[in-house]
Amino acid sequence: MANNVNFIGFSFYINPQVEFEGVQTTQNIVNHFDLASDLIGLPRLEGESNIDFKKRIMDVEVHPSGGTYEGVINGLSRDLGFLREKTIKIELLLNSAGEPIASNPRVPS
Amino acid sequence: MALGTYPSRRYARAWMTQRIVNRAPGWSYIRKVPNSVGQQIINPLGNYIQETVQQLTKERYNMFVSTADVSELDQLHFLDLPSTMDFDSTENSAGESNYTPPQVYGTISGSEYEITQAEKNNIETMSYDSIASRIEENGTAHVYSEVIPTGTVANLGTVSPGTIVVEGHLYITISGNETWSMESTDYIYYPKCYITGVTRKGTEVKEAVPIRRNGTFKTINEWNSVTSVMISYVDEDALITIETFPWARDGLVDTQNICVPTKGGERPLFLRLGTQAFGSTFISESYTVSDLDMVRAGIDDKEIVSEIELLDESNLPVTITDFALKLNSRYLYAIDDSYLYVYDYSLPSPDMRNASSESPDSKFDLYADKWLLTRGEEIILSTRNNAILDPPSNVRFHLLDPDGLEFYVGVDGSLWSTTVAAWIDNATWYDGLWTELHIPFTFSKNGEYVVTLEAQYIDQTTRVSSILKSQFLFYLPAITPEIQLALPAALTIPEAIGFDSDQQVWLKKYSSVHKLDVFHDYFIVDYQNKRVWCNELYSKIRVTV
Repeated sequence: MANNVNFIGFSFYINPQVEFEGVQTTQNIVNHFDLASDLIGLPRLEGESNIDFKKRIMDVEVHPSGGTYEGVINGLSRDLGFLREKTIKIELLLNSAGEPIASNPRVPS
Repeated sequence: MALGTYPSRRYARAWMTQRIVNRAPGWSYIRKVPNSVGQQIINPLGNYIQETVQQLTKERYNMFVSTADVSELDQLHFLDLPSTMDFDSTENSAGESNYTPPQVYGTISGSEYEITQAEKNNIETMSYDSIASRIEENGTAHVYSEVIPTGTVANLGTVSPGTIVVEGHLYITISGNETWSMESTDYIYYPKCYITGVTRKGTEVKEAVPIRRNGTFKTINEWNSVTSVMISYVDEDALITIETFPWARDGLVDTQNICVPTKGGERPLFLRLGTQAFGSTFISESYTVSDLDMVRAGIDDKEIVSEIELLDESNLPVTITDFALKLNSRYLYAIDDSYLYVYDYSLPSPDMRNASSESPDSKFDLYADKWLLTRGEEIILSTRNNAILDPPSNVRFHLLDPDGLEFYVGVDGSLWSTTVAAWIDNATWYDGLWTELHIPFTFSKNGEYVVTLEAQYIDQTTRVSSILKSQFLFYLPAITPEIQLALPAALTIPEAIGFDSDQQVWLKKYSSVHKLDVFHDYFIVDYQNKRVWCNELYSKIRVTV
């Protein structure tokens, strides 16, 4: 909003602004989840809620990060805020003896 | 009208008060009488210590990620005001200048709403103690089914566990069981429910939940799916339900209050709704014994500790369908066909101003089994003459009702107009004797009823008469909601309400559960740094000074 500037003689005054409109900035507040996450070196992401943060903290135990291919994937995705979820389920076709029809089936992870 | 409101009730009766005064001797008035002046003095302190105890409990739970409260404050949203904007200020009589709070408007779905300033302009009143100000349908809904629908333990083997519609803790409800241990030569076996499945975390575990009484028990783990359920050492005909929300419950454990009797052990409180002719009540009850071994042995009767009438904003009775307790707070969310009510469920404290004209040298005590009553309940008020050598020549009972109407009361409890003399003669006065009176009362309104016993004494030599007054207060508590929010049109006439493990509110309607977003629209102002902080994020906010 433009300020109204009124000249009176040699001096002037500015009408103080009485209204302002804008968009909020989000600020995280440190709480118990941040204290727990400090122990495992997993900082809260900007604007992350307790619910999402709690899921990531708990994910550390199930999907540990490390130097292996699997570990790097786990660590990277978690630190960026992407949790790994099961998307497809592969069911093997079995013969009457309960063995896979294809010999030695393998699905790369 | 601005969104949000301030807590209306600031003064409640703390259970801690009774715990403090229980350190006094058993015969003392302060310990025995809840409305004694001593307890009135202790109660603010009791409230304060009780709050501290509740805080410590909360902190203890917050030490572990799995039990920490996810509704703890995690983010705030601020708006910096330009340096050219100054807050108005007023000067008080002492010459100090006070800022005038600005008006803040938030844009929600294209419409602008005024937001309320937090009561004390601090984080506590903005986030922790604030009352829900707005609800919206989230849009997330699932077809609801229990993991194990209610059935007998004998049939449990034939039931395969259903899917978990909302991930989180599970509630196991057992009813009708009478066997609580099984003894062999070397061991005693206690009932347990074993749940095997995948937790929310993704680990496969088996959890054993001890079942030590008929009731509802919460699992420690948060579950994603259940593969099998096994229960051991309970009766074949006992009923079991396992579900995401505790909707098969008989009563919810009160996590904020306990029952502290004048003497004897402290006991947990269980909460449920009561149905009366005039509307719904909120009942706190506890086992009649404090020893849970005796409860298991079959002495599992409960007695009502308090029954509070639930009213709407216009002070009219409401018929509540269901309620759920908000974690770590004194608020409960209740629903009827069209509204969500937020009540402060701590026990209200009666207004004692009408019960303060007792004579300091009164020779009578008035006593009853209970002082907290509900409408229609009969109670006997008895006299106890402490000066047996000096009986009154006649007595009169005066009743002041919550609307300020006055009556005299007959020995049979009948109410007479105050134009009648209504004195009850002591037939044995000439013999120097007195027979204690037991007057039945039944009350028809909520609020405070004050009974005053006027005892007339006549000096045998001077023939001068004097009147000494004793008083007793009966209290029929009723609470009005802190706020009453209209349910979204699609969710009217809901069947049940519950909080999930993430403290999100869900409503059940037509065998589906619908998520409800609950907002707290409040702001605080940092006058020095010209910054406005809000609980909620709006698409745009406007500040005027």
